[in-house]
Amino acid sequence: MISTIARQEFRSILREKRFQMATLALSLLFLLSLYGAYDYYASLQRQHAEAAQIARGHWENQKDKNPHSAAHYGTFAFKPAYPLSFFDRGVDAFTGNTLFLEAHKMNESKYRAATDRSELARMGTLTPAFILGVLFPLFIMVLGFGAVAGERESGNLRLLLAQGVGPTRLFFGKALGLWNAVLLLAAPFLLLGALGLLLPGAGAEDWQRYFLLALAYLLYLGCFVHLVLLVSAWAKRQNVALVASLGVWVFVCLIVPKAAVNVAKHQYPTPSWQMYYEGIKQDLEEGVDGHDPADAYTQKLEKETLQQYGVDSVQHLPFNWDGFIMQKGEEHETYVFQKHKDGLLNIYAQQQQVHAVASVLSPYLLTSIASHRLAGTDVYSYHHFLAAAEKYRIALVGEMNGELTQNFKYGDWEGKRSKAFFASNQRFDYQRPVLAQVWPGVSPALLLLVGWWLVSGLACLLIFNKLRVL
Amino acid sequence: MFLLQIQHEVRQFIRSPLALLLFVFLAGCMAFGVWNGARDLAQKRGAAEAMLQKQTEKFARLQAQADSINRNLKAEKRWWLDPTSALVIGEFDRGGWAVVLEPASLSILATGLSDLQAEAEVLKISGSAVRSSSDFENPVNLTFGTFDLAFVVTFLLPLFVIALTFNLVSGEREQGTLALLLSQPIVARQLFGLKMLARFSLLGGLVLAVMLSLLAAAGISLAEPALWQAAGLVLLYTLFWFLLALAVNLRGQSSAFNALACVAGWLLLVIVVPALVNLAAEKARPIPSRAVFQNDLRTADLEVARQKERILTEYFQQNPQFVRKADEQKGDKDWWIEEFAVLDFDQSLKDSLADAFEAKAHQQADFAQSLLGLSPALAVHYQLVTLAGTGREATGGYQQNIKKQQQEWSASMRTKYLADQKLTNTDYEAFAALPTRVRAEADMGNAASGGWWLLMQCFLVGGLVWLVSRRPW
Repeated sequence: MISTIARQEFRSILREKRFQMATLALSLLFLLSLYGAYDYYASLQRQHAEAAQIARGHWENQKDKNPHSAAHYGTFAFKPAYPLSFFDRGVDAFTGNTLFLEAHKMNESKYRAATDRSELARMGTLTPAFILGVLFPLFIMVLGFGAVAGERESGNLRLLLAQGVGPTRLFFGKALGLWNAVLLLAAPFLLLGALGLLLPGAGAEDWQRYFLLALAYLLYLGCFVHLVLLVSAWAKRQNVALVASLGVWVFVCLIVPKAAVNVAKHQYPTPSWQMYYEGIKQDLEEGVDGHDPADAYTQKLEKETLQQYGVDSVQHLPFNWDGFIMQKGEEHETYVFQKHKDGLLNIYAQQQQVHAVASVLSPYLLTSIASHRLAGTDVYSYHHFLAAAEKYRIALVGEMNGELTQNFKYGDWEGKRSKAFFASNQRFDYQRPVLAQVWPGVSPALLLLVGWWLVSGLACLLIFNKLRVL
Repeated sequence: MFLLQIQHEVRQFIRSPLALLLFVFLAGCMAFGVWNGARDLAQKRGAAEAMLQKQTEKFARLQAQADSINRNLKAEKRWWLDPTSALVIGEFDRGGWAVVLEPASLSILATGLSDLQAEAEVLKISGSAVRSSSDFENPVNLTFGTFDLAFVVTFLLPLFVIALTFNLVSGEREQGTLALLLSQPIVARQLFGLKMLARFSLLGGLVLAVMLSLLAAAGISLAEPALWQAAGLVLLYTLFWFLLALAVNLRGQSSAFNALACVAGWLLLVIVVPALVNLAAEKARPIPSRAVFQNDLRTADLEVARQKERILTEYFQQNPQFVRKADEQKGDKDWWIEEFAVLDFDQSLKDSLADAFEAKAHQQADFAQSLLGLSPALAVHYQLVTLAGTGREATGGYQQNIKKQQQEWSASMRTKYLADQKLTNTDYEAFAALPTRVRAEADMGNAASGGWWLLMQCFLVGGLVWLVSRRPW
């Protein structure tokens, strides 16, 4: 019985002109989005790889100078691009592309791509994730709004129920029929999308991530299959079902995500520039300043060090005091900057909780979280890169200060190092988080999506069991 | 006849729970959008005021310290903290002059790019340092975008119109009242036009009343010309969707078909076309990654180093009051004389790189703007952002202002330092009189051009209505 209903539903959907037109439109748009996306990753990856090489060249070929001057000269790290960013750009456009690594400072990354684009870019860009996340659910609503309401209006529902078709079977039949129609389009889309992974740079892990991505989107679309059947079963007439289905889509895909953002921002505001740097400035004053010998903390450390080594002046220490104090200053500065960075990340985590609560009303939020994380274009991946760059900065500056401490005499600021030394310094070799590291952030979103799918299905069953024929 | 129709529309509206519910929902969304805009504006203003307040206090402290030093009441051994030094105040972290970008009050209308913009720049001898709270904004929030009034108008208002007009004519037919109406001595086209006009007058009037009340409550003066321009845009935009719904209705199909067709029109014009336009702009006018730009800046430093000898030779020839010394004989001031000598060349080289990059970004933005005519959503969104002073043009205008002020600051402080002039009370009083704000104003000119696009789109759809209405009834 279920398969009969499913087959009938599937056939009647296929025969409808709106299905054919919507399929054609959606397919064209998906192909366009792939065309637009195919070189996004390759181009960005190439530019950033070249930039990293050039930056390394600048570092190695800098003119001969004192190691601490080199630490101030600094170098750059460039945000990596990942293969699946062609599918979902996530927060890429809103995170900085370049990070200046220098002594004494944990800089913020600069140059967000969004600031170079026009205000119209905020209205959305056509990517595969946009098609599947925003347009495809509307396609499902348009296909399915008349599934029950149409039967009711035409009088078929009365006949069906009179012939002993139970509401549960009716629901499963309708859901399966609609789901088959959805899969008819979604499956080729997801297979086509996988073609993007044939481009150079994609590895086995990217295929695994893509598989999970596809699963997330299928679950998401399944939620909309349930939602549209719920609305159709509830509405008395097709017109009402259509308006209500559209309203649900607008609420889930447009209103809730934006409203959640504003609530999160107002509930847990991020600090202003003034507040953030005032806090840092105050904390920096509570520790060693490597550039100021008169600083109280520097003098205290000097006294303790002289006592420790049993000498009466810094010239008699077995290492270069200048290098040593620079490094101590650096350690204090790193501690302070990290403390405030952690405070900021804590605020982000609180905001993310608001988004998580809002996702009860919108599976789109959940899917976006999972999709961004699997594509490597989420905030977590970005901060993983920043943390690795900071670790490299500490190590590089440590190398410079170490060279000053061990191989320079106290007071010798004229001594220099040349290309041979700079070429021997460690390189920044960033490894992105593997799937296992990302999984703890993805699995809750996927589980919640499963939960959404189950709960929406249960709600449908309830409504179907209370079906009215008029 | 029109008045009769209006009365009928009002009665129908009041008696329809769905219509009332939708209106209340839309009004609620508008209120939320205005509230968010007002809060963001208050936050930005608060941050800017806090920055200026700190600056006033800081310079008052520096002035007092400088006065003590000038009167030999105290000494400052740490030269990098000396408040009487034009170099320290002009360039180092202790000094610099902050100028804030004061957002326009109409920025409540549309967030635009304001959530990515800096709120201040600190002028220094060598350039300006950006102070931006948006550096700390959660990228997830930026990605999803703000729930502002422009979002409600662009995306939700058309749905409200469609929900209340998709069965403008088909509803009458399905109820059986259309035949009765057409049996009266009235031209069908006139009847439908009056119906649409009456409903538009009622709903457009209500939307406008809500919008203006909310903006007035948020502190925008009703005498503000840009406000009325925004109101006109919203009315035109609403009219477009009414005309589209009428054109669809006049095809004589069922209400369900009309609803689907109107929704398809909304999807195409509000969601798909803007996304396609942005994709086309990216493809037709790509902007390279700023990673390239960053390295170009560093390469420019190498070029400056290569040209330094020539620049210094010319400089010391043109400025015989300064003597060029060998490295081992140079004091601090000699190093800075040479730094200042290459500064202009360095800045002009980097400005040319920045201008070349900006030109590419402008090309992409101009390309997208040239396609405003493809979608009323694009046109109205662009116009609202421009009126709010939160678009690219506003940022560009602000940057030019800042650049001019920075050049004046740099020239003044360099002159003082090179002439060994200590900063005195007179100098600090002159600092206090320096401008501290640059205002982002609504760009009425640009927004008017957008209004013309909307008007043209309304005419096009109006033409479509006329064509479709010629069929026999």
